[in-house]
Amino acid sequence: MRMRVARASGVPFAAICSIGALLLVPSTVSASTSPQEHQPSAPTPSADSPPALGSSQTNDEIDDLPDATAEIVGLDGSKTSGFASLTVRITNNGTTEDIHYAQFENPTYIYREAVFSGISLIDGNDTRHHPVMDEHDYCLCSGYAPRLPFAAFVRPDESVDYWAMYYLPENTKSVDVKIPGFDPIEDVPVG
Amino acid sequence: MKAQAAGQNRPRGVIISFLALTFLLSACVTSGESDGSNGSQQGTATETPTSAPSPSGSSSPVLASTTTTSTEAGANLRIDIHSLQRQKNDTVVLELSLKNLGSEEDASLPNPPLQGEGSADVQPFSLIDGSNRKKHLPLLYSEGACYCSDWSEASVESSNSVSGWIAFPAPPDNVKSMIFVSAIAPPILDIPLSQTGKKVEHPAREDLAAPEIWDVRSLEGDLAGNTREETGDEVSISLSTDVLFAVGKSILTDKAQDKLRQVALEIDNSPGKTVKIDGHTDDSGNESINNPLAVERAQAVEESLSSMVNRSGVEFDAEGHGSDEPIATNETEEGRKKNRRVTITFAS
Repeated sequence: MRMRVARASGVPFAAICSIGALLLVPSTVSASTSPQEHQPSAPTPSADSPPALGSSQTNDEIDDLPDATAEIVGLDGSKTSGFASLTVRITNNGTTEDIHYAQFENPTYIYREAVFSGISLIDGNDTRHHPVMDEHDYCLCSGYAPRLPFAAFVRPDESVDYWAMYYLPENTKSVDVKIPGFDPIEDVPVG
Repeated sequence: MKAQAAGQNRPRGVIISFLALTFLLSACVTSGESDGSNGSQQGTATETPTSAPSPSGSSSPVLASTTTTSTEAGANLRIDIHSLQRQKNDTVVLELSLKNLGSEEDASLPNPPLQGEGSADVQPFSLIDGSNRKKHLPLLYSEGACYCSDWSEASVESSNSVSGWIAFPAPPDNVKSMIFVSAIAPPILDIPLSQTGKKVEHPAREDLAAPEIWDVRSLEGDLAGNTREETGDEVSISLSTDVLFAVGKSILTDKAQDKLRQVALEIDNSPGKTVKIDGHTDDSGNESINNPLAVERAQAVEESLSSMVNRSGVEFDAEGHGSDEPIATNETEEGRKKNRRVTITFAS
């Protein structure tokens, strides 16, 4: 399979890095920041790591959507605000048809341009959180600026990672993720 | 921006065990460089410039990285953030580099910010002030060029990187971190914002255009069909008229009274003096019926809500808009239900 996603070589590098970060961040951060500032999150997923946060397959909700898999490779919350970033890996298991990312646009609410706005997070109070948008209705998600070198298609036998941002209530521990055309992915922890 | 050679291949164990502190930090926050697939190389922070180093000096430590997994280059194109620093002129400067970790193909790069045909041109990258829910766009000069190092490369060759800086309007002084956003790679949360320090500042020309700082608003819905939108400054609660009223009527139901009491409590706890109440319909039916119905429903909500709010000095302003301001598609029943609403807006 041709992959356009990050791959690691099987070594538990994240764990090693966590140790390294614990040991090294204070010194490094102190060189350029005040002590109360936060170490930035590193959201980059790894294709070879197991889909620990959940996955699902296409259902019949969207006509002509090829057989595909959606994996949650990251759901990280900011330590200083309610913003959270979701990264989803879409793998096209079909053999002929591309998947255009506009397949994942919001089916109900209006966003400017067809972008990756249709993935919603449902919290324990049955509140459905849609991706945040700016005052010009641009989604804060993959591909809002289409002139960039952006992969708008997931071709057969390929995987592409897309992302979207949300604003979640304080202390949200987990959510269900609903992707248009896919079965819901339940109890995804917010990191 | 200046092209720079990528680092050497290095055994991971060597990196972990012995290398300098900044090198280690760089390796750890850049999981993309541990990429063992596609023949990609293990990047390092000890790059060897092939031309004069840029002012930003991309050999400086990497604060955080994100891999552009939604570009053709996939995991082979990585964005490294080197610093986010306040300057004295109410700006912040983001120093970054883009590295092609691949061994064969060039990787396309985003253009520098530019005042072009659409908003997309000006925001290849942006920063989010999470505390105040604001999106900071790159600063531009009056003729449309960016206040940045203005790289010219459309792509970067394999095993090379380009580096540079972009200026943004500064957030308030009490903001200690920001979120880096680009269309092509997952955001980087909580990048520490440092004060002006040892580094040389990047002075702006006199013809700097007005800064662009946009509200970011959250959007959520409940099972009853109500919608809540919230920015850093105000809350808008859109109550479904399917719940508030009987079909074609403007007399509030019992369920409506319960919901309005919840809204009144929020208004009592909010700081603003004005509450806007806007009635909306979907686009079905006749505008000559829809428009007055939207007005009557907004007025009915105003009358009830004003009797429930206990805080003194609050003023209410009710209007009807018919179907002119949809928040959802009118092509589906679900969308039309969202559009049939009375929206109550107040300061947060």
